[in-house]
Amino acid sequence: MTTKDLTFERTTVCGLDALVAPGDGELRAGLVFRVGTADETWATSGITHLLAHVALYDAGAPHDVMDVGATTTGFLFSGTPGEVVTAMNDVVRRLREIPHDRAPVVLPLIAAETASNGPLAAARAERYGSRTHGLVEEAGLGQMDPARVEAWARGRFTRDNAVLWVAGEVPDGLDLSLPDGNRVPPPEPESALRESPAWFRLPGRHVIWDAVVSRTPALGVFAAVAQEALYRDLRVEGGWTYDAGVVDGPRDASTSHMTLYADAHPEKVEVVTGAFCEVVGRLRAHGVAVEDLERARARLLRSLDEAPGEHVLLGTHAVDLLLGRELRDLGRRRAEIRAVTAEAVDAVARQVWETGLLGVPGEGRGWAGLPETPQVSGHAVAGQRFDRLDLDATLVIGEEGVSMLLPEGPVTVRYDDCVMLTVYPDGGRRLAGGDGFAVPVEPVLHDGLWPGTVERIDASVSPEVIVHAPARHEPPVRPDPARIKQVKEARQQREVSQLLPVDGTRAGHETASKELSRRGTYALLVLILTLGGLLLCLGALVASILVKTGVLTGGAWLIPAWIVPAAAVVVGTILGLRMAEADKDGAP
Amino acid sequence: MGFWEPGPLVRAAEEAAATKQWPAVEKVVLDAAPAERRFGIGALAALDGVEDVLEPEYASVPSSLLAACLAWRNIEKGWTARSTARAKDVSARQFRAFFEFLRRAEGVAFESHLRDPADVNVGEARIVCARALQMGADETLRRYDLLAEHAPEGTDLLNAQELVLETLSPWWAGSRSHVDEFTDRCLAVAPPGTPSAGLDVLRVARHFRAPLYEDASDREAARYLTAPEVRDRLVAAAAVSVLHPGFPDGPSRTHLHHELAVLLSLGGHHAAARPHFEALGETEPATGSLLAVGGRTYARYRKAAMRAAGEGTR
Repeated sequence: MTTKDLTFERTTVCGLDALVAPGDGELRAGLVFRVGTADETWATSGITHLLAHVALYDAGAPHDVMDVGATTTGFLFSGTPGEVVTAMNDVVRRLREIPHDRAPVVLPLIAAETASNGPLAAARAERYGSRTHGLVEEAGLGQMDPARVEAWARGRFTRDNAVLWVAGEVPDGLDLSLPDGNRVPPPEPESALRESPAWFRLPGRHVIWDAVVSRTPALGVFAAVAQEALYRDLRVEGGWTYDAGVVDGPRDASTSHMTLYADAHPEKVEVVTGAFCEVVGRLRAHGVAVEDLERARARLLRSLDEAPGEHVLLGTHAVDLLLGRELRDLGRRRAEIRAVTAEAVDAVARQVWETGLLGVPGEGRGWAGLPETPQVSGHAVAGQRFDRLDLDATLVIGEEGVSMLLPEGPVTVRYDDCVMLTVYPDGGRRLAGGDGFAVPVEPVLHDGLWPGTVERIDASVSPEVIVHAPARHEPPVRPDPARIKQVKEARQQREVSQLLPVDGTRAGHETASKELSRRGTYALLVLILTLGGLLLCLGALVASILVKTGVLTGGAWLIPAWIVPAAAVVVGTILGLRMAEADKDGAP
Repeated sequence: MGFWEPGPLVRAAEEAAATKQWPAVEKVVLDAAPAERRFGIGALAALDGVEDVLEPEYASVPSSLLAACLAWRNIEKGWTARSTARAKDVSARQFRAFFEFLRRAEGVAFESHLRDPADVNVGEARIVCARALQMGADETLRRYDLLAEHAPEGTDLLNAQELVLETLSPWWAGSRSHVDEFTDRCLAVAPPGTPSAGLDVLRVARHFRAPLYEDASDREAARYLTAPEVRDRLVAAAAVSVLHPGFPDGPSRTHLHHELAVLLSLGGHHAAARPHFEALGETEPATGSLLAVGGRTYARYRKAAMRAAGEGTR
């Protein structure tokens, strides 16, 4: 198949979709698959990365690389035609006949890579939870078995799910025999955010504003404008930042992730955050200035003009083809950038704001008035309750899932949304939900949580998400009695503090103060009645003995001396019990 | 209207809020001179339910004045929910509510600042939000600098400066040197006869208060004020500010006189305190001041100052 109106050739090589354009020097080629981390599940996350490493291991020259993204995985080769053919054939052969014995060798490499996950990975996890684009931890690597890897390769690394690109002549001798399959559509992302924009705590010293925007030509112009604004305000004028800029990458055919970022000296993170938010806010509130727009446009056009040829875009075209997006060559890109209007750039700025996820280092909170990303689930399940012995929390095990009731609200994992249930040899469990929340179930940290109850959880989730973990280095132990008492007191104290209103009204505060003082008076009355009555009873007892032994004479007065204090004790006890009952009902 | 006579202002605010009409509420603030508008805003912000008037209006016309009222209303609600107890005595739930209200205040002030960075009442709310939301000393300074840069020429910035000093005090996010650095910086650009020229008085107040937060007694803390060099400093600060013939009328005049009167009295410099008591006239002590003293103590100081005329400093 050839498309004449493009300045590159779209054809078929070894049964694969292929994009070919003249190169400028040594041969460069890429093999790109429509598979990435966003296609995995929490329990299988890391499987694409593992397979790509195993396939490339020992193949090709040291400068041949692979790149596992959220939705595509690419292998890039360069060298003489002979070198490229050998390396590419090797990789394809290993995808076909997987050398599983290589896995233990590459796993530490992958772990090292994941450990250096940066702010972008953190933003993805925050936005998507433990699904699709949020799968950045590669948590499933610990339990990869050859059968799973084989199945993954058969389904995703197929002839129909790949695109070959070649900058230069297609070399002779390529053997790209891959199994037949389907072009897999990109995953449908599902946000774990309840509202946006929102902020989250980002350890380190980068401030970021992560957004999801439509893939329009204005996107690139906005990015250039924003980059200049950040650089000017934070580096040139503020002098607090060394590196500030914008990165973006496609999410699917119609949307991109875009991230504005700035680094900060550790002592200046708050100033940078404040100024950074104002830059993003101004871009949205004021719109782009004509001179800024024209400067950005000129810069983008210059970079396209300076491109040595269509071949530099082949990798991008391959990704677009796999994502189902129309291909746009250099000439069309130039025309589109020339046609970008200020209104279109302003629309991007609004979208950046509305979908924003602000990552902030440091202690500050509520920047620009943004709410924090969800720290608790919106709901709890009903079921059997077990208080934690080591902290002020209550576990609920129900028919639909489990909840941990924390003072700040419930954290819930529904069984049908459980993406991983980790089972420890000591009997502990950890349920992770698709929205990124997790609930620990630790029998030793609750009274009355028997193995039978815990095993009921195992039977309630899909068997595919159950992972049997090795023994923990430090399994939880039952806290000592002093700690248990301390936690109990803290819980009671918190329950009492919940009587105070926090709606910010003075009237509410006054009502609560009156209520608390009324309760105080009531409690004092109960105390006086009960204790006073008991003391008088004691007096009556002594008097009775004295009368009996003859020390005192008379005795008619003994009857009321017994009746009155006894009645006081009875009334005091009844009132006390009623008060306790009312407290129990009133406790949230 | 002075700020020790809040009664009429509070009544006016209550009556206006009861009408549920924004024009009536707005009038409470706009009737005052620009430098005094914060008292009208403060009186409104203290009213339960005033947001029912402010919010719908703000949704249709997000003016700086409405933003300032809403921001301060949320700040007030936050502090009511938190209470003014020391942090260790505030429950996690109260803190959550506090942060939530302050976040809303910050949001309104942020948007308003983008539209109009010159508004002093919004700028002051931003300084308070930075403190409460733990954004640190540097961010507070950055917000103050933006306000100082954009505020119209001749704007009274003394209150904003005092709000910054509060953040920079050792009991919040700063230290003695933070307080000194900021004060010196402001004084260097404050022409004599302007409110900011009296900032040294507020610095002395902070240095005097600092030991109290480390559980020093009132007597120990007051020892700092008895030093002749501190007295001289206060007298010099008074000369270039409130006692300067060009000093403008307004709340800063009353405020500085009050602080000078109390600080000099606490240090035993009664004669030096006299011109300030005279300027204040027969008034009650300020309740909102860092140096709030009881009515009886204030009356005693006043009497001592009046008696001390021409008798030196003791």
